[in-house]
Amino acid sequence: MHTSVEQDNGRAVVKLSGRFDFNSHREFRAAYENLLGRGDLKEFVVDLGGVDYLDSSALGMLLLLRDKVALENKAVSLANCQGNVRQVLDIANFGKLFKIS
Amino acid sequence: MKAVAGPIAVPALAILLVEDDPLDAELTQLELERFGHRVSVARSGEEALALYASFRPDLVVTDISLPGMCGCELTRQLKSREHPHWLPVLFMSGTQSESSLVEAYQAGADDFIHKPISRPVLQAKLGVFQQRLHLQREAQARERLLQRYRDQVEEEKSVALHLMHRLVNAELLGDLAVSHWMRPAETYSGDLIAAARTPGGILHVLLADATGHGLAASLAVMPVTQPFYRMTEKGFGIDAIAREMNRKVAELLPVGRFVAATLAAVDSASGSIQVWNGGNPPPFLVNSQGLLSSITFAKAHLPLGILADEDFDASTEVHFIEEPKQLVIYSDGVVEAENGSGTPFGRERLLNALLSQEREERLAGVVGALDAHLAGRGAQDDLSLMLVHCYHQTARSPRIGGGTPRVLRHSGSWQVTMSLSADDIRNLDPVPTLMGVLSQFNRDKDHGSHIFLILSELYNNALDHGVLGLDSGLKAQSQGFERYLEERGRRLAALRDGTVDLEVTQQHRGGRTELVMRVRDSGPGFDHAAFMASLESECSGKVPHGRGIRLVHSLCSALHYCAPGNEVIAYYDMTDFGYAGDRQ
Repeated sequence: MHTSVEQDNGRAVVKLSGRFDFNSHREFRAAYENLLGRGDLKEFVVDLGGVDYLDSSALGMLLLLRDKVALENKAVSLANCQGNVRQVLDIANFGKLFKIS
Repeated sequence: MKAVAGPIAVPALAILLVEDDPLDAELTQLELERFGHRVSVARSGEEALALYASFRPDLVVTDISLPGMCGCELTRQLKSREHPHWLPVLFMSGTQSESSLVEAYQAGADDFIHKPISRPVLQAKLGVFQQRLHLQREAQARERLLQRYRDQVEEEKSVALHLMHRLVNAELLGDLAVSHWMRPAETYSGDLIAAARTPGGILHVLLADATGHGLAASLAVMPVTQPFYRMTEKGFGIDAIAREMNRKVAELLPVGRFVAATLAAVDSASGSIQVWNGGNPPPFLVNSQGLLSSITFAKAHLPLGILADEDFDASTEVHFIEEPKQLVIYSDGVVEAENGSGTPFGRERLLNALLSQEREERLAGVVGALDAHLAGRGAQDDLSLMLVHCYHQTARSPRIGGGTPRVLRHSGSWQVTMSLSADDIRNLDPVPTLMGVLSQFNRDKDHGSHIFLILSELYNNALDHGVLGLDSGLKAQSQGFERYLEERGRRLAALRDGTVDLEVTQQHRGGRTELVMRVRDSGPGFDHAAFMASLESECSGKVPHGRGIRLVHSLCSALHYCAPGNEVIAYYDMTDFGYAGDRQ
């Protein structure tokens, strides 16, 4: 999996591409770690547009991120969720936990 | 038979009169009309041919000598045409020459009358024609009626066969472990072969043979199908199924009609073969060297539908095998099939045909030997034969290492299996390998990604929790993921014992195509019942584990753990798009 981070106007976007599974844990954490605890950031977005496979460990990682961000009273939204990625998120009922687009 | 237009009301005829002499024509026409017939007159052969199409006569009366086309030529032309019925031709001639008479008959004349015409002779001759035409039409009407009955029977037969085919769920016979052969004595078979698996993967087979053969026997065998499929689906044992079948047959069939049946349950996990046999020849086992096994199924019960429930004996015989064997079940029609000189095929010939063949060729071997024995003669009873492959899973050896998938194919179904040793588990990612093999059978991309997800989740669970004994509760703690992954890597590198078996089967069931994914690990299992209950009840996955199986559960039509929880079977419906929306 590849990661990249964009910051713009209080908004941090973590862009992921490739296979998002338990092997991606370190990359994923490295991508968001420096964004935590920063007062200038108001909003977190995980862009899943480039992800072609998502498994249950990935869902777990998204939940962990959500918990950490919630401690700062901020929210995480998931962007560009399409095809199978969208289906997996729907099945797991993630619409109740994240804003999904 | 009296050939007179007397008391039988025969209809008047339409007569085409061909006569060039105007006076003769008028006189003859008057005579004919006086007898009540309709007459149309032609002056020549050519005119007669032209008139024929519009007038459609029942009878042609023609002069033998005509200007232009003679009466003989006219007759030849008329007779060569297609007529809805017989078209008689009566010749008239003043000449007495023998040769012209012969020529007329050769041209197709049906009778001959001399000129001048005698009225009684003409009347008598017409009466004969009328009678013959009448009889012929009655015969035609009867033939049409018969044809209609025949068509109706054929139509009903095809509907009945379709229905019976659906009722016996013949497509379930695609089970890879079962091969079978049937030949009914008539259109409908009074024999029935069925196979189905319990939720725990135990194979149930049934061979039933109703008294007699033909439609009545075929209907009589129907009541056993529903208990067999329904109860197998719910996981009942064959003793309970036999009892229910007996009750059903006794309730529905008239006294004196009954159903011989053999039920067998083949469990490869324990290597057991359980048999209940009522009225069929005793089944037997053939081992992989092609020898008759010393294991016998001697216990003989009465056929279904004879004993009342309280007297019914549902006790079964169970044998355990270590080496793979084939269970042979057959109807008495096979051994009783007589050749032209009255010699039955017999058990001896059946055994010889079976034992002289390689495992895959045994069924064909028996069919060939039976055909040779019968030498083109039809069998007197329905014939059916079933071979069931039985083996003991843990004794199955040698393990194919290196994670090489094995593929089995059987009439539209297929199965891919992979057995992983500890070495394989350390070095291989089996799911992509398996997907590579599966993609040869299914090219549907959407199904492909679901199947990948299901297999990955099931394999990861088997590996992480079954083989490596990791506690997924770890993941919930802070820094839990890293610790989980580190621990996983450490245990994997140190892995020396442990196995994971993967099995993917595509089968057809009830008109649907189903993918059955089975993953078994060498671990101790877990409290799967409580877990499944929580899966059905919880509404969202707040806990960061157990989510994988929840995904699998949503994508599959059914998910089943086998005790003690180290084996899971996921059923995925290939017919529809497998995704069932939020199904929680």
